[in-house]
Amino acid sequence: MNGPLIVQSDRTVLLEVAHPDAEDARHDLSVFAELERAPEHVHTYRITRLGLWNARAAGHTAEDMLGTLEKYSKFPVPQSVTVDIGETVARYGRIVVERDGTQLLLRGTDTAVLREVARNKKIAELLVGKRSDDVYELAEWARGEVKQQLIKLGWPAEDNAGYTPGTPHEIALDTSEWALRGYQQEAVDNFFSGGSGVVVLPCGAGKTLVGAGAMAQAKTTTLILVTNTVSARQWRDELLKRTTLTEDEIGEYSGSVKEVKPVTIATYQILTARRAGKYTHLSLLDALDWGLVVYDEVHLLPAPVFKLTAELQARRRLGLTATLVREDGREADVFSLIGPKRFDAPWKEIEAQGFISPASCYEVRVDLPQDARLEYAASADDERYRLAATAPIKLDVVHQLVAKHDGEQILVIGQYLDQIDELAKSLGAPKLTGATPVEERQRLFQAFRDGEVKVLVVSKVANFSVDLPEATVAIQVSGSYGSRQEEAQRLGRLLRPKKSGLPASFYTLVSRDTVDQDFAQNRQRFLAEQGYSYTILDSIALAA
Amino acid sequence: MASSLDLAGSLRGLDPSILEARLGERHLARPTTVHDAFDLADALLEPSSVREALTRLDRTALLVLQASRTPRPPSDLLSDVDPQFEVSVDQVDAAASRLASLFLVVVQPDGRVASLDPVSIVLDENPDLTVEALAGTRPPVVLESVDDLDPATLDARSAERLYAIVIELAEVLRAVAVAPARELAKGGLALPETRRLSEAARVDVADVAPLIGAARSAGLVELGPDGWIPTAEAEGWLQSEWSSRWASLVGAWLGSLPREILLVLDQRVDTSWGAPLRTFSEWLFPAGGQWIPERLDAFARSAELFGLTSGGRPTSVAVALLREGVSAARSLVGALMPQPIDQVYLQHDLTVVAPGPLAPSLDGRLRTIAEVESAGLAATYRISEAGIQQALSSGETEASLREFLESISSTGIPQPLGYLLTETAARHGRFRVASVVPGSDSAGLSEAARTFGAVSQVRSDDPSLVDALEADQALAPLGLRRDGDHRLLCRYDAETLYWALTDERYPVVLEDAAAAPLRSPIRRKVRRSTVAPPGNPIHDLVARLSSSAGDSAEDTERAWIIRQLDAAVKARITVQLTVAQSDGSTSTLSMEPTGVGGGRVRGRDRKSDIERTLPLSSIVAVAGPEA
Repeated sequence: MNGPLIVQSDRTVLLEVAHPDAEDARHDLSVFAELERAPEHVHTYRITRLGLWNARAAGHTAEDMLGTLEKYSKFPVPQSVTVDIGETVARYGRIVVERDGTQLLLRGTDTAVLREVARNKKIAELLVGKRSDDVYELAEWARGEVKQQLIKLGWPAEDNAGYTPGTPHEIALDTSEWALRGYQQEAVDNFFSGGSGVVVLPCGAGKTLVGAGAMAQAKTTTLILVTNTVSARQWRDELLKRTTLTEDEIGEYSGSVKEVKPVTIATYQILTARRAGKYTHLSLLDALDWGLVVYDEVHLLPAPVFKLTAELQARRRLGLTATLVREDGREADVFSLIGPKRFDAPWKEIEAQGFISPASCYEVRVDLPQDARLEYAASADDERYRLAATAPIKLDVVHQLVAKHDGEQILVIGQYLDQIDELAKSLGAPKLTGATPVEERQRLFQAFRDGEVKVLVVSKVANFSVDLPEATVAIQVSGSYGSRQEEAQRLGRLLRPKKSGLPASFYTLVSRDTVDQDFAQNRQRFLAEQGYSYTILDSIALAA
Repeated sequence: MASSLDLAGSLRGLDPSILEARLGERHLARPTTVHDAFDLADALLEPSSVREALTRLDRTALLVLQASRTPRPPSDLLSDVDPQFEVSVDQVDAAASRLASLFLVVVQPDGRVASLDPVSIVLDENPDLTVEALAGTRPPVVLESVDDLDPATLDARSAERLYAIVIELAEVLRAVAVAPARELAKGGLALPETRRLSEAARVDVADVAPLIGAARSAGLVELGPDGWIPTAEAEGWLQSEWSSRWASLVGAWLGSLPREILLVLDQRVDTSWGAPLRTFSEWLFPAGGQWIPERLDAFARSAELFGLTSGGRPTSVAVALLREGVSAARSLVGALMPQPIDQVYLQHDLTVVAPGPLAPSLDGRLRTIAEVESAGLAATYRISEAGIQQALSSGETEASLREFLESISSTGIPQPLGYLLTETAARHGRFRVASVVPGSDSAGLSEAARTFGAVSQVRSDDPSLVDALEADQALAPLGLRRDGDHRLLCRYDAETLYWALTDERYPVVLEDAAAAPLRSPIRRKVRRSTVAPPGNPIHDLVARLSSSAGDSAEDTERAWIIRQLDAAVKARITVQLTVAQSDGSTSTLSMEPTGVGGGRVRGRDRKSDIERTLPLSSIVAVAGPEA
């Protein structure tokens, strides 16, 4: 017994990355445990109830999971963990949602459990009749809600009630110049055999293509829900390029355009827009007989969409995401309403293809001159961050970094408009802020992509409202860029390794001994946990 | 049979410490209302108190109690115990001593053991406690399901707990060192306090009370004015190796187990400590009530916590512990514990991961610069600037820390950590805080400073740093006063000044009056003053008893007669008085007393129906009304 895993009684599992069996262990462990932190030497996974149920839904047994732990564990698996896994997994599927003709049924494979849940007030309201001790009739509209309530009670239901086929619509992949990668095809196949559910793939691993693959297999009218308009257009472009769909068949339903076509791409924002307290665009959900609903970035699904999704249970649902972890803790709702995890990324394969190589992160510490230091000390708390973040001395450092990366595509990111103006002027580079018109933005982005513009100064607002083009160097002068997993992923998407093989670089300029440094500390922790290398430099050393 | 008068007399003759220890085993409903030996005898013979005491008697003791209805020497009691109920003379002797110890029988001056009337009355209430029932009910045959677990698997399963208990308790000790665990006035910890400890020590909420109990038994925590705090022994325990820690905990726990549990275990070491133990206990203690499930549950919880059982089945360690003692168990535990490691991973996010149990000495040193984030078989620490500052204040240097980290790291020192070490060491001591002793030459205070009323100061060699400190808005509430280029004065004490600067991330050290660096103070959380822990009511009772009466038997007798007469006056009942005559003979008088005072008793003579007044000194005995 000397494997790469250490199973702790608090349900965390540590993985020693350098161990010869680490890759195999990671592969097997990710079936039922969620990756929490992935710094360079020891990764931390957590065994959660949802993780176990997701694995169970995918056909893995408790014995399989315990077998993985025992096979790769360095020490005996704590008994409490063994018992817990067995008991938790056994709770899945004791209640089944199924259909008898037009009637939805709630069937219990364990009569005592069914009796217990049927007595629950919130579930009793959803039941319209009792056929026998092990079968209740369920209201047609309550398919989603009953699953939500059941998971709260700790009895996750298996949904075998089937789906409406939707209006048939011919969709095929145009594979004249490309093909689905093996794992992408596997994700599509797993999704279809499971019914509805979530496919988890890291950024850059081709989630859109999995969506396209699912559509090509379903061959039905499809509603795609995405986070913003830019994303909607990227989806449209990708579908036009990768499938046989034409522009006439793809509609955009957003703040600016309201088209309903056999394949409609809508934003979460428009779906949840309300006027006089009412959702004004709900009719979209019934505009066509959708046979497939795709939820992009399902970990960002807004709360009101859950409610709408609860009513969409008769339609096949595909969730796409890089992580099942939600900031609002509503992972159980994703499980209940979209479906269990149907596929998780084989990281080894994707990493080997170079899609998720992390950037190198540098924190550059800048010493404030004495007068700035005194001004900082004499300031109130709310002023201190601005003073530290916009210290003029940072400008010199930006120049040094731009000079160091001469010839590369460089983004300079700031939070304060004055500072952005000054940076743009000093660097002789164009700037892009929230106030920049859309046409001007697109023009600047294109020029940046084409290499006509080497350095672009952008505000934080711009960086959040649109997808930035890829760069090899990013210099953050002010603003707390990364403090959440999502932002680290954004960083990963923004900074791709250069074709030459050199890693991309992310610099953050930090005023020493100020609150700027506190933010930096969180960033360091967070980025390192995401697997980015992290180095701290002195601005003086940089200049030398 | 003996009376409560006999019991009161025997109580008065007891050594106070013995009396206190023995009373600790009896339940007294209202100990504060007991003022003398007679009150105590009454309280001990209250039916509810007797009933409670009977629940703790095993079958042998109950049979001996039945036999002692006829006063006789202990050696003769055996003949009355049913011959089919196999007991030895020694067991009967032990049972008689136990009964006397619990004040359920009295040992008369001639050595005979006699039960007490009120005890016999309670005994007769319960049909399960007749001699026939006690002797005739055979021990239950408990059928246990046979599983295929071999002892080695069982031991392996429980091994994690053997280690976990010492780690969890260590975390609890460290948590109460930072903030004492406040004890409720009625005893125990409040739920919010339990949750706080659970969070601070990263243990289950349900385990906090047993862990504090274990620490208490082992003398590792004591009740201070603010609650439970580590004792002087705790530090040594924390430094000792794991099997030694385990042995001291379990040895103390075993010593604190109720006698009844030990009695059961003595006879049922090998069986499952779950349902079979309970069934056997219910047979062994036929009058046993609620305590059986309660105590067995508590015991089972602790046994599982200590790694002595796995799923209720005793491990080899448990069997060795009960059969051969703590040191035998410790040898087994030593082999089952994971081997300590001496190499860790240092990571870019400043975490340190020990992929196994880190040797206590390394763990202790690592904790000086890092906070523990999770502790189990593997532990995660996080190094911080504050931690490094503290280590530097405690005498470490950048070089010594670097050497230490390099020696334990299997992957070198990551760049961000190396940077942090260098940076922190370079900043260390830029600001030095010390107390100012008014009038002391070493303080070198100016006249203006003396009138300011400073009690502490912060100094720096770099005047520009002092400028920044002086301008710092966040420190304005301290009202710092500049005194020369290198010094600021403060009216708050040095520790307050130290923490205020530390909170604003200034690199500060504490110095003594001679400018020698001091260790960083431990920031204990300030607790509201707590209600003083309640006194020990039994101890107070014994103290009252000791001071309430003389020592002689005659005093006892006299006091008892007066109390009986007082009781008869209040209840307006007729009693039989034995009165001494001048010729040395005695006579009996049937009287309804109406008053006691001035050394006399006044009352109506029922036989002649006249009022009489008798000197109390002439009354030899008082008995209840004739049947």
